[in-house]
Amino acid sequence: MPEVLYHPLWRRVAQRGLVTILLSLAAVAAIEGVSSLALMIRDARRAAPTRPKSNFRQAAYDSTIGWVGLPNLSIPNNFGPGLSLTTTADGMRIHRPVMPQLFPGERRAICSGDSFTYGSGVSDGETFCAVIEHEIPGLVTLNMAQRGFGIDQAYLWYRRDGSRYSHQLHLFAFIWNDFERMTLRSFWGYSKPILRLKDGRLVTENVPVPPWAGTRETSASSSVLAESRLVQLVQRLAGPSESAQLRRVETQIWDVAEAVFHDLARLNRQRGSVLVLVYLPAPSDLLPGPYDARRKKLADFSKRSGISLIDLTPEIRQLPADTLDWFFITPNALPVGGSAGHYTAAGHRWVATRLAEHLRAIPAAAAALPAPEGATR
Amino acid sequence: MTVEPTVPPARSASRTSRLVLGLLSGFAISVATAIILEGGASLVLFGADYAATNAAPQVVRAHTTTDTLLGWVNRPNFTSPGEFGPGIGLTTTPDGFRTTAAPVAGTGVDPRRLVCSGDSFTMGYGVADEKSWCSLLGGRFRGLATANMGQGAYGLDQAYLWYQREGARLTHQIQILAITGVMLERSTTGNYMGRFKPVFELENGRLVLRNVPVPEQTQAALHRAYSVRLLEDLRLLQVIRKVFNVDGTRGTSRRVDDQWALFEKILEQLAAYHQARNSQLLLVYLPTKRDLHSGPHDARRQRLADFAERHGVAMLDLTPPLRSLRADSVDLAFITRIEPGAAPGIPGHYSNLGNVWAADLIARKLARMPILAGRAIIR
Repeated sequence: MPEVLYHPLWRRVAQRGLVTILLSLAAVAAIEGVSSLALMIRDARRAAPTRPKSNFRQAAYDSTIGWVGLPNLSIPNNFGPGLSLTTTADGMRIHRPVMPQLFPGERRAICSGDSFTYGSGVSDGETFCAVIEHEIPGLVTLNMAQRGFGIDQAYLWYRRDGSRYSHQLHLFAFIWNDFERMTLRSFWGYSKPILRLKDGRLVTENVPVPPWAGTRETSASSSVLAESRLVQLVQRLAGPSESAQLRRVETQIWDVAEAVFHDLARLNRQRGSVLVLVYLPAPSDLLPGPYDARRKKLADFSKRSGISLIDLTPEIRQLPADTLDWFFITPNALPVGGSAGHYTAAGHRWVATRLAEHLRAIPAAAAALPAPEGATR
Repeated sequence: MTVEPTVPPARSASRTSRLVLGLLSGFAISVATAIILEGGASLVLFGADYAATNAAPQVVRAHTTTDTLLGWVNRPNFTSPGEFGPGIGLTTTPDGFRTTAAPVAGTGVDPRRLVCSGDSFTMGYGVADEKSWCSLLGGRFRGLATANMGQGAYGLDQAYLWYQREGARLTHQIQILAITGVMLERSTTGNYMGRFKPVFELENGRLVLRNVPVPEQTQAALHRAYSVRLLEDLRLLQVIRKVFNVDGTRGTSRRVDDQWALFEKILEQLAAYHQARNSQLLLVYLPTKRDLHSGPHDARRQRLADFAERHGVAMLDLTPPLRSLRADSVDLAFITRIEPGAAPGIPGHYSNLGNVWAADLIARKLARMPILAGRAIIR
C-alpha cells in the first residue's frame, strides 16, 4: 500500500491563507481596475467634442515647410477684442504694409521663430519684432515666424523666402522646445519636414510633407490614456528624467542644429545680413533646471563659431515673480485657446527693449542697425 | 474500396464551440488581466504615496509655535527673509503679529490703529510683510497704523480668540475681521486636517470652548490627515463620488450649516464688544478661488450679509467685485508660481496684485466710515 504523504497542518493553513490573501488582493485590484477603466471610458466619451477646431494654427499647407500662415488675413479680433491678425500674401504676420525694397536710411531686420516671435495672443503691432522698431528708429522689421515651428522649419522658410526682402539683420529666435520639435515628423497633427545630417550636409526628409487634416486625432485618447494608473506607474518607475529626455533629444539633433546655425550664417553673409541667434525664455526657463545645460551649450557654440547669441534668460530671472506674471499670458486671459504661456504685450515690450540694448552692444549687429540720428557712418 | 473517414457532425460542432469558447476565454482572461493590472497599479501608487508621507517635510512652519489656547501662533520677533521666496520675507512683532512695515502716513492727526484678523489671506501668505492688504491700508489713510493678526489656517474661532487675548490689549479704533469660506469650515472641528485646535460649542445659547488646552501637535496626526486625503486618488472612490453624486465637501458644508448659530454667536459677541468700547467692526468676506463661480458658498455669504444687516455691523463682500474682474486680472490676483525653497501652500493665495486690489476696495469702504472721515489719501 503506497504511503500517503500529508503536509504538516501549518503548511496547509499557510498555503490557504496565502491563496486567500492573493485572491482578496486580486479582487480589490479588480474592483479598482474596473473603476479606473469606467472613469477612462467616461472621460474619453466626454473628451471627444473638445478637440481643437480644425486648422487652429490658421496655417496654409506647404509641401516643403509643413505650413506657413494663411495669406492675406485681416482679422481685427483674432485673439480677442482688438487683438488683430494680419498677414501678407506670403503668409507672414505684419503690422503695416511691407515693401520688398527699403527707403534710404532704413535697415530691415527679419525675425524668424515660433509662436513666441509670431506673437500668439497679442496684436500685430505688439510683437517684439514690431515693437523693436520703436526702440531702434529707422529699423523696419518683417515677422517670418510661425506658430508651432521648430528650428528646422524656421530655417527652411528663411532659406527659401528670406531673400525676397532685402535685409541687414536676421534675428533667429527660438525657445527650448524648438529643438525638441526638430525630432518630430508631425506636431499636433500638422506634418512637417525633418532635417538630417548626412556626410556633413543638411538633408531634408519627409518631403513633400504629407498633407495634414489640421486636427489632433489622438488628443482625446492620449489625454485619457494619461489618466491610466498603470501608465502613471510605468512613467513613475521608468519614465526618463528631464535630463535624460534632454540628452536623448540632443543626441538626435544637436549636430543638425549646429549645422543649421552655420548654414544660416552663410546665407546671411550671402544676403548682406548679420545673423543673431536669440534664445527667448519661456515660462519653464524662469527657474534653473536641466535645460540650462542646453543654454550653456549654445553659449559655447556661439563662442566657438563666432555667431552672436543673445540669451535673455539670465535677465528675466532677475525680475520679481509678480513682474514676471505680467509678461506671460495667463490661462484664462484670452477666449482663444493656445495663447496661454506666451508673452503678453508687456512681455514683448520687455524683450524688444532688451534685444535693442544687446544688439547695440554687439559690434557686427550694431553696424547693421540704422545710424542714430545725427551720426554718420 | 476505401471508406472516407468522416467526422461526426456532433464532434465538429463541439470543436467549433471549443474554439469559440477558447477565444472568449482568452479575451476574458486578457480583459481580467488588464483590469487587475490597472487596479494593482493604482494600489501600488497609493501605497507608494502613503509611504512617502512619512518622509514629507514638516507641515508646521518654523514661524509658528504651539499655543494651548489657539493651537498655534506666530513666534514673537521672528525673521525669515526668504520665507516665501527671495526677498519675500516674513517678520513678526514682539506680540507675534506679522509686521506691517509701511510707515504711518501723515502727521498732525489723531493716530488711529486698525487691527486685521483672519487667516492666511489676511496674513498675506506668499507676499512680503509690507505687501499684505492689511499693511497696505496703512498707506491709504493719514495717521493710520495697522496690526496684522492674520494667521495661517486659522478658523473664525481662533481669530476671535486671538483677538480677545492679544488684540484687545492694543489701543485701536477699528477691527477688520476678514472671513474666508474655509475659515468657517475650520471652526467646526477641533482637528482640522490633522491640526489640533480649540473648538467652540453652543450650549444653552452660550459659547463653550472645547479641546483646550489644545493637545500638542503631532506629525503623526498631520500624516494621518494627509493619508486620508490620499484616498481621493483611489479610482473606486472617484467612481463612487461621481456615480452617487457624493461630493466630498458635502459633510463639511452640512457641518457649517449646522453650526451657523455658533458662528453668529461669535460675531454677536464681537459686535457687542466693539459697541461697548465704541470702536468699529468691519466684516470683510475675502473670496478665494473657490468663490470665483456661483456655488454653495454663496449661501454662506448671504447669511453673513443678513447677519451684518440685522446687527448693524458694517460688511464688505469682495466676491462680486472679484467675479466682475477680467479673466486675466483674476489669474493675476492669485499666486500661481513660487520660487524654489519657498514655504509650501503658497499658490492660490492673493498675489501682490490681489492684495492691492483687496486693499483698494477695503479702503474705499473705510473711507466712508466716520471714524476715518477726511483721512483718505487720494491716489
